[in-house]
Amino acid sequence: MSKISYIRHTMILEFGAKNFFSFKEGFEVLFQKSKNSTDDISNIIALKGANASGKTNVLKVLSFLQSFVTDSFSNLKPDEEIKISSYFFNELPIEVYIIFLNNGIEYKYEIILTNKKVINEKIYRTKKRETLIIERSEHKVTTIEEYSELETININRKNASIISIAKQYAIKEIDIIFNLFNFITNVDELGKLDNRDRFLDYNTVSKIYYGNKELLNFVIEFLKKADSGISNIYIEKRKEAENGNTIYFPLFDYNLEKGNHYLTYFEQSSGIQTLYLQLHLYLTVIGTGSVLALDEFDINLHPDLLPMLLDFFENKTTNAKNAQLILTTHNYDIMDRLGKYKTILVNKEKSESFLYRLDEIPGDIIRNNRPISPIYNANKIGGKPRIKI
Amino acid sequence: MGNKNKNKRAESFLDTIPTASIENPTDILAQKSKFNFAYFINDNSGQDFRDWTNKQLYELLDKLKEYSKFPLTHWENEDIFVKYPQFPINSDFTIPKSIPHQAIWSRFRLESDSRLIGFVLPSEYDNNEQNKSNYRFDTNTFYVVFLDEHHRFYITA
Repeated sequence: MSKISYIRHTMILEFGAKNFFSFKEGFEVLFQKSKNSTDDISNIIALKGANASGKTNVLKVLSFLQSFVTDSFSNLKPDEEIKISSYFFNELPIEVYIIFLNNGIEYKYEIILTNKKVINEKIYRTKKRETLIIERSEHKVTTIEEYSELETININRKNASIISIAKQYAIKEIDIIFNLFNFITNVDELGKLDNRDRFLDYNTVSKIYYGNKELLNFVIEFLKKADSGISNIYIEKRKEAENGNTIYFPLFDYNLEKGNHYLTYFEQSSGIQTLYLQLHLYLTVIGTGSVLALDEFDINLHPDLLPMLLDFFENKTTNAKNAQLILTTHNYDIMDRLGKYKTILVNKEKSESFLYRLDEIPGDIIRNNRPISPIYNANKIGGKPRIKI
Repeated sequence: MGNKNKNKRAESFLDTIPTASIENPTDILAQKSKFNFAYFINDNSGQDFRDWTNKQLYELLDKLKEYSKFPLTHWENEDIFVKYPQFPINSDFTIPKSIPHQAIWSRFRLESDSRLIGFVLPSEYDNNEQNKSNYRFDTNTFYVVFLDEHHRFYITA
């Protein structure tokens, strides 16, 4: 396979859901400046809102789609429940959709389901006009000629996506759609994954750095720039006596006046630990042009470091493949930097989440070239906790 | 999906956000006249507020509310506000010493014979800083001096 086929030029245009976790009604997250225009697609979207407003649930659309569309056939047992929740576990169907732009062609994926079964899946393709190319209704599949091989497969799994099933049957035509769902995220259906247990443990990450010097150097250079005092990182390995497993671990080199001093991972501040665990994700996503969805992206990090992280995505030279970052944060400066088209506020009222992008705010409260954070802090545009003292 | 994703809570929240703005091209907040009572005097031939009935006071406030919607020049064109060339000679009132000599005496018409007497600043002072105080003179402010219930400030007959 030639190297070029690995390069993706895919971007998310928008996604949304309805009756999805804390969202009783629908919501949409738009990366493009205005709907139906692909001229200006953002590389970053920031979600802000009070605790428990539903920010993380927005990212769950991406984690759900990634695991369900690409992996539900092998990941779920035939009778297992789909890892999704309706609003307060009601019986009504859940709706989820996403639209991608891939090499100038739009693909829209829509699904209606409960946590027991898929009711309907539709895939549309838009070149000049929108065409329904694949439709799955429970056990029945109809397609256009190009995808007709899908009609021959036996849909015997009510809890698996047609895309995941087709992939299992090695139907090559599905690859272009399958490959769109390439996201890295630190949330799953239960919420944010902890660095320490499931998402990124330092042993796994150290093994990645051990095998990829480019990634390691990237981390070292970033930590130097961030004034951490770290001059180098060495990845060591050793065999565990009891089970023979190989353990990978970093040694952080501090260049002091009286020679070098080494500290372990556990002696690092939580900020350095976070950067060590997460920085390779940035480079991986930038390198492949995929999507990084990070809940509480700034946790443990000094606000001054955040622009350096956003730069990876906003700089057209480093981000030549148009990787995208969607994040949640409690930081104020980010909205000033990103502006109204890239900042979404998530609110909750009567236990129902809802969201709006700042350009939807009527009137001239939000004006170009003026900071948004003072208006936000004065609670004029919502998305702030209403703390009763 | 489009409109299927409408969210009534988001819509009604966004609907609560004020759209009025002093930066709106049609907004005229800066033009609106101001009323100042710092120079009010009740020991001449006028009345004190306490001398007026509640009804008279409500009517006064209602008038002030209306008059403050537009600049003084607007009311001047409507003949509701009049600037006098000098303190009237034929008057039951006398010039109070506490009023700056630059004052241009003027009046607002109220209900029937009632008048609100006061002064404005001459146009040459407009927007000039006073004594390096960082505050500027404003010729669109009416400084209220007297309540004139029976039209005795400028006696015409």
